[in-house]
Amino acid sequence: MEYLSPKILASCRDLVWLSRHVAEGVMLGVQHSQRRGTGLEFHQYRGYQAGDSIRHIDWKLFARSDRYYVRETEQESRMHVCFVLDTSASLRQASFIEPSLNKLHYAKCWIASLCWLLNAQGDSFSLLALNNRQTVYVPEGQGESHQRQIALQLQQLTASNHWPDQSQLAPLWQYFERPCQVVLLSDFFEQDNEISHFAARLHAAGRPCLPLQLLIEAEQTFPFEGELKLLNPETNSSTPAALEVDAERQRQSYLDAFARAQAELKARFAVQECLLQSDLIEQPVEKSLSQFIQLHGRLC
Amino acid sequence: MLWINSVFQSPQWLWLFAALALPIAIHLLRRSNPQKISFAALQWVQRYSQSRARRPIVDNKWLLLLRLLIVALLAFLLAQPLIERDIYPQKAVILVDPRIEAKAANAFIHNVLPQLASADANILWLSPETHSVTSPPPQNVDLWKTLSLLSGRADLRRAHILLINNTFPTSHSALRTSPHWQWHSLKKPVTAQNPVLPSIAVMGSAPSWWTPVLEDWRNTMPGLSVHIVEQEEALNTQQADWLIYAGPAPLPQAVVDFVADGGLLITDHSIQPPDHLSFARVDKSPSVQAAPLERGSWLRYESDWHSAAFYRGANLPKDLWQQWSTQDWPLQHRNRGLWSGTSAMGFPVADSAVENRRRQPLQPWLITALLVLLTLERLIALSRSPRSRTGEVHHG
Repeated sequence: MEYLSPKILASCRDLVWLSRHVAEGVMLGVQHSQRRGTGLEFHQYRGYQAGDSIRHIDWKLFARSDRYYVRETEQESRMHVCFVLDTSASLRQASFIEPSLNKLHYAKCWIASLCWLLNAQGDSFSLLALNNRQTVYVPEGQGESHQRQIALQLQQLTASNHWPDQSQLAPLWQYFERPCQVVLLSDFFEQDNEISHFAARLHAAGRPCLPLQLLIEAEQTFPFEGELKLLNPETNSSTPAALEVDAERQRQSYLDAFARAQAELKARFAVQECLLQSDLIEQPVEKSLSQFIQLHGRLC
Repeated sequence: MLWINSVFQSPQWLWLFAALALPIAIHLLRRSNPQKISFAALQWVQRYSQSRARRPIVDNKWLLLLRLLIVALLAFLLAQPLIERDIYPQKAVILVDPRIEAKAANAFIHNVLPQLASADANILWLSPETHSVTSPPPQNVDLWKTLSLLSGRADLRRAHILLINNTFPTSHSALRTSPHWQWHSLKKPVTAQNPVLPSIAVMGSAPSWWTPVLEDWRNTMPGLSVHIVEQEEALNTQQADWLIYAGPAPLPQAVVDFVADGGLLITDHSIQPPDHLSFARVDKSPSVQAAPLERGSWLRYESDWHSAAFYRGANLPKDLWQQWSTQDWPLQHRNRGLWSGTSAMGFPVADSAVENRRRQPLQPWLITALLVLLTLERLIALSRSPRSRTGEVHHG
């Protein structure tokens, strides 16, 4: 199986095509015990919309009415997956190996691909992308048009500011009132464990939260050399906006501190019985998705 | 600034050392603008090196050091430094009289001096240039002048001198030699003949050093005749060759006539010469000058020869004899061919007086060092630059 290289991933802006390509790649490697398809029980007709497959047009009705109608069938939705995407400024972090690829772009592609897979098995899905300035919510839905709508919303997302505080999160809890499986994508670079608290609260409310942490390789290896001025894309009161460092001298202390923080983060999620998957955006999306699906068997 | 001229051939290029400031300035400027990188995981980077005071003064110290060395070497190279090196004759040297044919000289060396032939000695023509005997022999070489010249060369201190015969074709006691020279002659030696000695006349009250000097001369040159001449007494060149005039100025007419007739007049600074005479320095000595006066010569000391500064010195008799005899051309002419190579002759030049260190240019070494440093600098700079282009990140 040939994976999409980070360069292609970064250069391709058609998220629909990209997600289909990725998802097809993932499906080749996944043996489903039970394929879910569209239901057979008729639900309703609705007018044809751009993006609907012409296979779903009811041609007999077209002959009678001279209008395109799409036949919607009742699906037995077994699962609602809610994607929660952190769009704080730290998700703008680009790879140093492929500078045109950043964490947000990787996350978009990852979500769109998983949506494609979920759609293929008839599950419904929603999207909540949030930072303290902007919240984008696409309600639960299913079908190709819904999948395209999510892809369109994802495409328009930008990373800025930081994770919303408690007051800003309060109105969002309503989106989790119905049972759902939450998939939380973030870099989990948090100041006061605010993202972990968010996940813990969801867990307490009976909404299991599957976390995916997106990192770049440089964050794991700190491969810099010489005198550098490091700029923090996500500034707040406790972290300076910029720091001049001697990379060689700082490397070991950074790696130690980062490893400690990662261990603590994993431990927090382990308590909630939600295994944290940390992926480098330099690795293929297909691989990450396959691992994620294998790790969380309840998804697909 | 004279020492600079002796150390560098082109000291005007030393200003290039000011260019040392360029790499320093470039490194300092680069330091003031460290590369900026967006890094989200900044919270785990410790802050202790935020203080600029903790930072090194310049980045890439070794690269800067290399660049400074390159600029310094370039300045050195253009200034052309000279170093003093000891000159030790590596091989035996044989100086051959140019009147001898090269074949005959080689045959003589093989037969008479086989130890030198087997030691692969350098066989050179006895000439100021000391070319190899494989080159054509130099023409019209004044042997005594050449020998005097070569006596000061450290690399020829222990040379073997091969002459056509044991008598010198020219010269006088003014000849300078190395005491380590070994003399050989192609023809059989003939009996040494005594050189013609000058007769010396003294007019006026002789200076106090005259008596001991004369005594020294008489010890080494028995038969030296000296007589005192009255102030008004006429003197001709038959009676005396040299006239030491210690009387009052101006010069008596009899003295002027003596010089015009071919004699050598010796005075100190108290006798003022007429304006039309042009004096020249003798023997590189600042205090002795000489001028031709019709057929004769006038040797004049510019200092007071009654003063202690004049006569203090162990070599006074030898120096005076050398200065005076070199000015007496008729006497030298008479002595031509009468000096023997088998007898001690001339004044030996002491080892201490020989410059046994020679200045050598350093260019080849500097160019090699410069090339090595340039290569090293390029290697280091190029190995660092790709990282700087990609945000100082090493992917390896």
